[in-house]
Parts: sequence; C-alpha cells; structure tokens
Amino acid sequence: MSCIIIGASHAGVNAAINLRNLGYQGKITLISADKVLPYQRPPLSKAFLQNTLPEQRLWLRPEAFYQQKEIDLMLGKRVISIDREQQTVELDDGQCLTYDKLILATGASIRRLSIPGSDLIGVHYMRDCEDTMGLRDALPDAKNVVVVGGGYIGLEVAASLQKLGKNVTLLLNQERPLKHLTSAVVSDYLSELHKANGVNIQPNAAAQAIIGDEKVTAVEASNGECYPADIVVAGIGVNPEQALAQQCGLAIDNGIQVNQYMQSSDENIYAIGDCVSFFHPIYNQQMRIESVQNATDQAKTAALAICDKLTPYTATPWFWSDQYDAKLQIAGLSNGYDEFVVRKESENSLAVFYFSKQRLIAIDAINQPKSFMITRKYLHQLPAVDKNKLADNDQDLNTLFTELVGV
Amino acid sequence: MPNITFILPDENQLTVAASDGESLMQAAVDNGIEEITADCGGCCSCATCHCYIDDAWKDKLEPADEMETALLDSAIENKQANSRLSCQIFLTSDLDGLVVKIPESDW
Repeated sequence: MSCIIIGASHAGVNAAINLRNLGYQGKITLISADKVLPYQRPPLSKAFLQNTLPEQRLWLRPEAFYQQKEIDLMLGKRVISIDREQQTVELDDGQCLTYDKLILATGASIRRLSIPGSDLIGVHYMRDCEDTMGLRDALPDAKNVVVVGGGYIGLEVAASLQKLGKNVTLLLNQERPLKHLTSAVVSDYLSELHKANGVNIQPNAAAQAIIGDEKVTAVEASNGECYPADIVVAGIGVNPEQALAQQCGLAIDNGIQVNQYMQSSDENIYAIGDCVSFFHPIYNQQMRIESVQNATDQAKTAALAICDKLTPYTATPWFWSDQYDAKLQIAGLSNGYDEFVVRKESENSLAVFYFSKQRLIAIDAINQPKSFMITRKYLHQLPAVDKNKLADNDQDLNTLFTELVGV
Repeated sequence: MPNITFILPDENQLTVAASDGESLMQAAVDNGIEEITADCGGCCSCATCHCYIDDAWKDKLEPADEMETALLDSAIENKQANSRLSCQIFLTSDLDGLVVKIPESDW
C-alpha cells in the first residue's frame, strides 16, 4: 500500500499528516519542487517580508516530524509525468515511483506581467519563499516601490513595504481594491487605511509599461502618469497548476475536477487545494478556492476517502488578511450578494454581512473578531436573520445566532 | 529550554523541551499534537489552537489581549477561566514546567 503526494505546501503536508493520524499503514511519499522544508505561505507577504519572522518559524513542521511520522519527504524534485495505467510517476532525476493512491496538491502558479519591460531587473513576484527572500535582498537599495495589483497580495505587500519605510505606489486596474471580492465599504476602508499610512494608492491606473535600461526605473500607467520605481512587485493572481493532470488525461475545468471526496476522474487519483475545481454542495456550484482553509480541509477530506471513511466536503470557506493594525477576517463567499448591512462597533471596527435572497451568505469583518467567529460557526445553519439586529451594536450576536439555530 | 507538559485528550502526557521565544502552539504542533491545528499559523485569526492552562500557571502568563479574548469568547464551546489560544503564549525559561491541557479539537 502506498500513497504519493505531489506538492508539499499546506494541502500536501496536511494530507500526509491526516493519513498517518487516520492510521494509514502504507508508505507515504511527499514530493516537493522546493528545496527547503515545507513552509507556510501567508507570512511570505507579511511578517516574513518584514523580517520579523525567522525562516524556521515559517516551516509547517520541523524536519524530525516527517521522520517520526514515517513520511518520506523528497525535496527539490519535480514530477514530470504520471502513468495512470502503470500507476507510476516519473521524476526529473529519472526515478520512477509506484503508487496505489496519488494526491495532486500542485497548487497554483503565479501570473506574470506581459507588458513591455516585464523582464527588467527589479521586477518581483510573490509566491514562494525564494520570491520573498529575493525581494528582501533587493530592498536595501530601493527607495521607490511600485506594487501592481489590488488583490490581497498587492495590498499586503504594499503595507509591508510601507512599514519598512519605502515610498510605495499601489496601482489598481480598477476603481477600488478587492473589487471582485468585496463591497465598496470594505474596499474604501482599506483604501483609506493605506492612504493614512502613506501609500500612494492609484485607482484606474493599470500598469502599461515598465521603464528602464537593464533595471527598472519607473512604471507607466493607463492614467497617463509615470511613477518612479526602483522595484516593481506584481500581485496579479495565479493560475491552477494542472499541467500534470492535463497531460495524463484527467478531467479539467479551471482546475483539476474532483467530486465531493476530492477524487478526480481517475478513482486512484485525488486532488486538493488551489489546483482543484470542486463541487460545493452548500453553494450548489463548481468552484475553485485559493486559501489555507480550503487546502487543509480538502487534505482531510482526501485522507478520509483514502482510508475508506468517505465524508463529503462541506466546509465553510474562510480567509484572513493583516494590513498595518487592521485584521480582516472573512467567512463564506459574498459573490452574488444582493444586499448587505454594516455593523460598526467603533471607528476602526466594522463588519459587513452579505445576503442573497434574504439568506446570510458571508461576512467581512475588520477588527471585529467576535462577529467573524460566531458567523463562521453558524453561517450555514442559520434560518433568515433580521438585518436590523445584525447592525444593532446592542444586540449580542452570540445570543442572536444561538437562539436562531436553537443550540 | 523550558520543559512543557501537555495532557492530551486521552489523558496521556507528553513532556517536550521547547525553545525560548517560540509559541506554545509551535511547541505543540512541532511535537505532533494534532488537536492543535493552528490553521492561521499563529497570527490570532482562527482560534484553532485552544488549550487550558493548568491553574497553578495561569496567573504567571501575560494576560490575553483584546483580539485573543474576542476569539475565545465567540469560538470556543467549552471555554473556561483558564482557556487560552496557545499561539499567543510565548515560552521563556520562567515557564519551565508549564502544564497545559489539550481539549479535543473544536474544529
């Protein structure tokens, strides 16, 4: 009995740990293209970039852990092909390994800029540990930084670099940050927060060209302005890493297609995390989610299935982001909302509750952890909720939700 | 190097040598205590590292801040006076001998 896991980030590592905890007796091989021990990604744009977290705190587990759990960790190896007939994977060093079950935890790969000047020295991205270390090494010589992209990575990198004393310009290709992910209330709060901290945030200013001879000197934007830059950091999204799956003929649909047990179109191959397109029964649709929660919870689902304890995946999605002293916590998915209500507990503490057809579907909480936690817990069990009560600071949400759910 | 004793949900005990400066969560995770899932990696966002501090020790720790208190209040079923999030407790030699009870995972 053997299980090979391709990819050793949050999803892959947790799959291996869950298999052992469930009593899986076979050989477990965890293959990572990275040369360093498997690490957490969220700090890469935050504490690790700011140099306040040492490298070993980034590790998901210490090296000895893998030995203790008899997880065969292969670092710095890339799988180049999967043979489904023979149930083997071939590595870039020529090795061929046999599996009974295979888990694809290949994650996502960064989208790169394709505008003129994208290959100049000084253009950085943020996905791997090496990316952050490369950016950190370049910082001492840099004064002006242009961050391209108003998603989470762009915002977090802008906040981190501003904290480190750089002159930061943040270019958005839309009128507000996180436009596709949240309401204007949250976007506006974050815009103001970045402005107050000194970031030059430019809406409707898509990067059009990077200027420089060998090295970056400026970025031209669609608003006609040119912003000086010693460094450019682009956070413009990721694509699911599905090449191996495609090559061996697995079903693909914006990610490797899996059922509610994370099983692909081949019964012996599972896929989990950022690379997966799965059916979420609560939302009644096929989706792909890029988050730590999704990676760790799907790892559990796949491990349970491999250990013959089939449990469908129904987890409530949740996310977080830290920028300056603001903690943003999100539960549920707000896309498709038709109404929202704001609960403002203080100048710096607000929660936005999103509804679709009268049903509460998500919360974005800024510095309001209680509202986030209690909503995350009961979100999908709640009957209709009175919007006015959610907005009323005198209404304790714990009491409201537990009464509604009847616990 | 403070020694920390974890009492697991099945009442088994595990004593580990932790490093100065690391969090109690980190010490638990690194030693294979899987009830502490610590999904957010220790940035006080998720409450998946809940533990109970032995009564003899609970007053020797820095008290919980506002964020930790809020998470404990709203997320934990069996919250007690000695409930803490282990990611917010940083270990020093003064905590040598600390005893911590690990509940079944709430998640």
